[in-house]
Amino acid sequence: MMTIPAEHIVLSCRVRLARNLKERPFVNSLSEQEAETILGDVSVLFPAKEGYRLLRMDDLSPLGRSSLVENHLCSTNLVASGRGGLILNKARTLAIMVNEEDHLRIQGILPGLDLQGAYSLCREADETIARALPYAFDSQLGYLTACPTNLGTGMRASAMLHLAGLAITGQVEPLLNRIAKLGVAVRGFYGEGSGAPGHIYQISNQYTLGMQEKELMDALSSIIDQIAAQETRARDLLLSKRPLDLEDMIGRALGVCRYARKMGLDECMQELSAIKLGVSLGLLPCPMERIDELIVACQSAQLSDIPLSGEEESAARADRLREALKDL
Amino acid sequence: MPVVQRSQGGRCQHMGARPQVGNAGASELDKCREALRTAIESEDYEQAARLRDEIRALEADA
Repeated sequence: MMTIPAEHIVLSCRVRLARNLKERPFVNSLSEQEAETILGDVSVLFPAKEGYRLLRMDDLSPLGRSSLVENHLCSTNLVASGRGGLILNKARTLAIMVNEEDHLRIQGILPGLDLQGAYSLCREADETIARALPYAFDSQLGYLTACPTNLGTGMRASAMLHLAGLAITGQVEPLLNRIAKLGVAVRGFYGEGSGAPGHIYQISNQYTLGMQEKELMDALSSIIDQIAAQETRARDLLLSKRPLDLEDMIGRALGVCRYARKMGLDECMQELSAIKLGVSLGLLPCPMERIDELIVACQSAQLSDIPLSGEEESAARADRLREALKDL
Repeated sequence: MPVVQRSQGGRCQHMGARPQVGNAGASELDKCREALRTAIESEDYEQAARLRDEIRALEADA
């Protein structure tokens, strides 16, 4: 069995804590004035002189907002709201959404599978806020949230997984259906309600109440480790039993990326998924970081500083792919 | 509560972290419960017994 680096399968992980402030209405009932007060009260705790940046949604262009979503720093819900804000640390490993569904969504984001590390980032920010601002908390229900699915710890831990081997061998859907019964939610590349272009899936804990944070993270890590082991086996099987099919698929993907003049996003993600698989299995000589950067760089809002028409966007994406992969 | 139980796989009692003792919004009862947890974790049973009595008194007042 060949060794595949864990970070080739588990791309990144995230922990987010949902919090609301005491004696303030939930976001859906907040007045403009109250929303502004909350944004001001929270952002002052994360000053620019300590390396934090506050991005106000109403100050950003539509492209700037989309770019934040494509970089997985904030949700489509937040960018759609005119009164939300995003607080980012310098390394962009901590991203606090203000006035999203809850007053605060504190997110820690790290490469690979390091849920405890991501939780520590969140918890530090959580304690900074808790020292200054009263949280809505109940002894039985825990941290009170706008939606009952987030009550208790308010914690959603997740990981982004590249499951190309399982997808090609037709095992991904049955596997994800099975794990959904274990209190795990499966979402697409951009979170709730999105598809899984490029065979990238987000796996997270479904329940937030009745267990400690560590228990939730340990249970999720164990499931992710098992999925990663199955993905490794699927890749191994492909390499040993269907090497010609595998090399043909990867070669075709590379050919399309190197010579296409127009490329839609879904097709691009599909081809990059095959190339990523090829790099992971040692069939293509290229650092994996280059492909991971390319996946982000080919998202719609990353292609230009000005809005593009559908055809212009496809052409710009194809140009970017040709340039990045010309020496492969 | 049925809504909570339905959306949380039948669970309805918070077991996780609490706002720390210094939290501006924590009630006296929350502060005592947090202190009790800390006392039990550090095996300071005398302090834990005092806090237990204090929590009972606060709960009776509530």
